[in-house]
Amino acid sequence: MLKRLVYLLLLLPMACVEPYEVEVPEGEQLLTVEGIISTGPGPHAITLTRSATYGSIFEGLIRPVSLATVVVRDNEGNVTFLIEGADGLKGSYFTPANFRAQVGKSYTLQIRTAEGKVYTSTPERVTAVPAIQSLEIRNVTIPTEESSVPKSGIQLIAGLKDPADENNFYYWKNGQAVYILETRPDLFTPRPTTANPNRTPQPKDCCVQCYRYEAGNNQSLFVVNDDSFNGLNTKIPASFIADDGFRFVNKFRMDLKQYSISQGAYRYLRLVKQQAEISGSIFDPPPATLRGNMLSLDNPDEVVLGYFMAGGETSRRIYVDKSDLTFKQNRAIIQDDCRVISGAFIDPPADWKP
Amino acid sequence: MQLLRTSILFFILLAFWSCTQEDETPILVSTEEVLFVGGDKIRVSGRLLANREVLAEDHGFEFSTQSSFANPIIVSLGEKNQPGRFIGEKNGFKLSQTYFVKAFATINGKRLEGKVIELSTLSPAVTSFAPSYGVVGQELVIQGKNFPEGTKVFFGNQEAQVLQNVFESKLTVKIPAPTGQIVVPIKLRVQDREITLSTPFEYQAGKYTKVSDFPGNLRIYDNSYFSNATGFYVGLGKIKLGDNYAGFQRFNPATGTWTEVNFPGNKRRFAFATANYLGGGAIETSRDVFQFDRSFWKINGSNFERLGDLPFNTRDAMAVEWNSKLFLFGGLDAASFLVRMYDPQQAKWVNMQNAPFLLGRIGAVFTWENRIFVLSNIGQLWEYEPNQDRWQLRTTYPGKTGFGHPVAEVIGNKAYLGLYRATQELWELDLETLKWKTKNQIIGLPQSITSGHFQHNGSIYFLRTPEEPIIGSLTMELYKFDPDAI
Repeated sequence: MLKRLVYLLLLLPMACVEPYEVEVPEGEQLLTVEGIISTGPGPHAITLTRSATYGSIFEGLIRPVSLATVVVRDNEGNVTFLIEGADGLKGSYFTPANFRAQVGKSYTLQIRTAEGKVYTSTPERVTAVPAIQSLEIRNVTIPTEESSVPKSGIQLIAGLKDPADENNFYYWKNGQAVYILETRPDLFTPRPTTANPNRTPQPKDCCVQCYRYEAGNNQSLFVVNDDSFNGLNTKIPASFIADDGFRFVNKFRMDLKQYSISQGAYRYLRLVKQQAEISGSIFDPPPATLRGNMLSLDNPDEVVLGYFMAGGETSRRIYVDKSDLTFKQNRAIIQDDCRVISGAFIDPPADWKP
Repeated sequence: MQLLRTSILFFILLAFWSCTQEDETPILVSTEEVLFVGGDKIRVSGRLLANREVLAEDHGFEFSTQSSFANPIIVSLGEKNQPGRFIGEKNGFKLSQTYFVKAFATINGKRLEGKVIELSTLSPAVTSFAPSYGVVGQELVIQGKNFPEGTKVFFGNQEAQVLQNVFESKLTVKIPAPTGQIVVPIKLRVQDREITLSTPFEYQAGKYTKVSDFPGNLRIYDNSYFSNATGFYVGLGKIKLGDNYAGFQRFNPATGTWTEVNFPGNKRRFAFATANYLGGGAIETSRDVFQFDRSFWKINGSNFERLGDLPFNTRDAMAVEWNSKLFLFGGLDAASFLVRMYDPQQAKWVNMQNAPFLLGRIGAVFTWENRIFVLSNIGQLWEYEPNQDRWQLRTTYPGKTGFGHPVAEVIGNKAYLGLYRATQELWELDLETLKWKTKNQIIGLPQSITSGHFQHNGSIYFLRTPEEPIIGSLTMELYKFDPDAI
């Protein structure tokens, strides 16, 4: 009897099990501001987007914020209106080409959205940036679990003379790159058609070599402060360019941009970098709230993502020859005229002087 | 004993634990950042710092011109029931004035204050404005910096309505009605300051006044016209739905009256005429069949003296006198590119080289500083150099060219061109700089053609005739145009 009672008692908790509904608060689509104005040649771009909502399933897209009035205002009251880009660049707002930030001035970004909401950044002061005195190449290989061939590329090491008696914060970005793209038009085989169902090869006479332009490819953030080298000459990793099987087949050129940014911008970027590089190990830094410098004037408690940066800019060009690489990826083959590749042109840039 | 000792120690420890109190961190107020300083506006952010729930009865900012905060301007943001950022904004500060600002919060009757920040309001300045030439009601944009709300804009002494002030840097105003002056300074009044823009504004000018109707309520087409010291002459051509018109009517601009003038020649349409010569033309004997008239006349006041006949037929040619010679340009009947010159001393006609574009009364001709200019039916302004028998394209008419038949009159260094068929635009061309400036549009029936134009005492007269297909008792109207009046 007692034994039966025990079985019955065991059944009771099982019958009481109910599925637990996790109620995730509906995520807002937050305004996200991203961009930098600098002392370098314009136009400079500020990009406005609305973040995707979060939840248990994919609920939205990152949408550009269009038709906003965006201005950059300096501490003397001079206002520069930014113009929204055309199709494909909606949500990106550009300064006039002749606009350059000036060292010593503070700038604020002001935004009035199409809905009439007004946002402002806190002032960002532009400080002078020392020149990049040297650029060196360091070969990098990264072992991966997926392949026996490690990933590889080059790291650019920037040499600079840090000014003493001031705190400096540096940020590097890859500028536009150009490289010689080599393809195999002699191997061209068209898609099967009724006229050519067997895909008979149709070699082309032209062209093997093109110059391919590539927008700044920044897969990781390079920021540093001068705590450990204040006032000294130093060399710092400032860029990584992955070998994708195309870039380093012949000659590669890139302009590395070096910015002096504010302490707030440095903190923000460092946190972004840390969180982007979290691998899930116990030694990872704890996640922290990314607090940008944009405020809503209508609701100071509204969360606005991103950071408006203003800084001094300098750049240095480097040519990388295939012989500079000690380890190279297998050469990628395009079986066509090189001119069919987007951004590839037969004529070299006017200032191509390797 | 040992048990007792242990028990006492345990109770002592318990007593300490029971006395433990939570140590509360202080609540702070921070004057965080000056977000905006304009001409008369300041925006500041502050923060209430606490690690627990807090209720501030009031919070905000204090502004003062003195660091002691005597006579402060207080921006009260009211109750705040949680820590965090707050933003205060205030207008009405004096231009270029130093101020001190601090954040405050009142919690449980206790006032907390943030650090004091010193700042200076800015001065307004203008960098540019556009357009510098326009009409009443048009929008004008003034670019600059630090334009506070309440900035007033004046055109001369006339206040303009400010439509928009974008980011205190772009003022959009509606151009006010003029008070008689065409060129007026633009002034901005900000608080007790007045800024006068370096470049004045010019009102689009040109006043049309109807002065008369053509006698007899007639409408004539394909007519001829000319003017001399005795008045404006309009005549010949074809009366609407009637016969050809036999003579001329002379208008006296001084008295505003018309007088009939006999023409000793035959009736005709499409005859050319200048101040001193008249000739050619044709009558239409049946549809598109013309009987040409080669008679050629010298005009002396209101009298016509017949000269030797033309050695060619001509219809709808454009005529101009230059250096005592008469030039005939183009016309109908395969003469579109022909240029002919008449030398009265030798009483001889000479064919010049063909023009590079269509000529005839589909265009307009004028002379200036011993040079001949032709405005073509498609708006090209050509200069003809008779001595070199050469054409040069000078500029292009910026307005609508409708269906050709423009007008051209010159006063001083300014040519007044336009009134193409089916348009009402008239433009002023500075013949020295070749810069165009639009004038006010002509009034009256838009579907009118210009049947004659003349000049008198700095004014231009346009005789406007409703297009032939337009029915009704509409007459030919003579308008006086004063280029610089509004």
